[in-house]
Amino acid sequence: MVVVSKKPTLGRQIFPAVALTVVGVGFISQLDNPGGDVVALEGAIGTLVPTSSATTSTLAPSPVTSVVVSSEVTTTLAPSPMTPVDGASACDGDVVTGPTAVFKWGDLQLQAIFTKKNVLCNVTVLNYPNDKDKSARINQSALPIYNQEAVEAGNAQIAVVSGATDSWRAYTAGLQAILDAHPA
Amino acid sequence: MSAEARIKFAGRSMGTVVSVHIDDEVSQVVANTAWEKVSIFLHDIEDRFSTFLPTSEISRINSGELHILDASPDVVEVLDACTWLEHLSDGVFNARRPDGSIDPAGFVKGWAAERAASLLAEAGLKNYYLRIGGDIQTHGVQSTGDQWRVGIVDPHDATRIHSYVDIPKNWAVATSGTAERGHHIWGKDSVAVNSQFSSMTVIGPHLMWADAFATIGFALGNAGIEWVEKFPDYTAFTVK
Repeated sequence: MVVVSKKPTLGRQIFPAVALTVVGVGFISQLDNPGGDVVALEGAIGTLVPTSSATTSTLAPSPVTSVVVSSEVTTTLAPSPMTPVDGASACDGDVVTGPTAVFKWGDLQLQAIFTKKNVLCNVTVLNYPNDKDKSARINQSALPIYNQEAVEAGNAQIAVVSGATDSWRAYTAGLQAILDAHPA
Repeated sequence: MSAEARIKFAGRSMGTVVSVHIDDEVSQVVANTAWEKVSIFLHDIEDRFSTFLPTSEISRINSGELHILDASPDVVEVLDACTWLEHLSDGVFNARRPDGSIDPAGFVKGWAAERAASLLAEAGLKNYYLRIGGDIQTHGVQSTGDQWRVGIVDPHDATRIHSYVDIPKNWAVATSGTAERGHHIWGKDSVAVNSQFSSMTVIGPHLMWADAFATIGFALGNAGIEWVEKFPDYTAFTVK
């Protein structure tokens, strides 16, 4: 086993494998686990070890990240984790609460619900991230947004513009090109 | 200090335009060096993330040549963030194409712009903005002492400003609209069609999240504003 001392980083790095093992999709599970077998994740990225006959998925060494999923569940998951895959079955089977994964940006915890036949049918996010940069927090309703009338009055002094369409063509036809070229 | 002191750069990257405006009283040499760092960084990101380059890490992951866990820390971080967003958005945001290949382009631009902006701070600059294709990360304030004033482009006419907002120090602005539909929202396309507005702008401390939240919020239609504002510090507003 690999001993890892950087726990926050570890939590962040192993999370995709955790979540994706639980919900059955994703980059890592697809690439590492083409047969759909449950894998044991031993500590750090780069040491994801497929085990052919394991029936549990154990995440070591983090104390909170231990998820047990039956092999039947992980092998019957549909490509999309978010939609019911077995419409005939009610979503009233096992409820599995995942570990709280510590991303570098905040915590995230998922809850998966299975049908009686152990098919994944719902995934909910239990914890939303809390932005760590709270010092900059503002009262949202206090944020003034000025409308076009003020803009057209000609004294708006816009420094930069934000828009959805911004290919090279849109740029050359748009206002940012003028702002970039203007000496002031 | 007058507004004439603003030092400006513009260049092309990621299929669009990168603009940097600096409002510090620094020499042109200092500004040039900072801009050069930004250019090198963005060039490197394009080399490693572009799906159009067969030699990029993303292309090599898709071809099976490179294992995802052997990719550079930046690539792992980006894919990690995409996974996080996919779950937070109930699958609306998805960095995988229907064929299973990965394409994190929808996240990379905002992420790279925020990182590039931080290089300017590392170069000692304090008051500036960096903009890539309509996504803006600011730092400090304008030379007049005023907050950075960001105009929101009229989604129906790129030559007009619809409205503007004075954003808090160091915050970011991103706008998503119909032109971006289908670019990084593959699953659940029925959701995207339901938007009852033409663009959504999100402001908040980090451009990588503001950009992703605008994409997701826009795709969610009327539920999008509420979804974005679940995140502390992030505010969404829309243009019909």
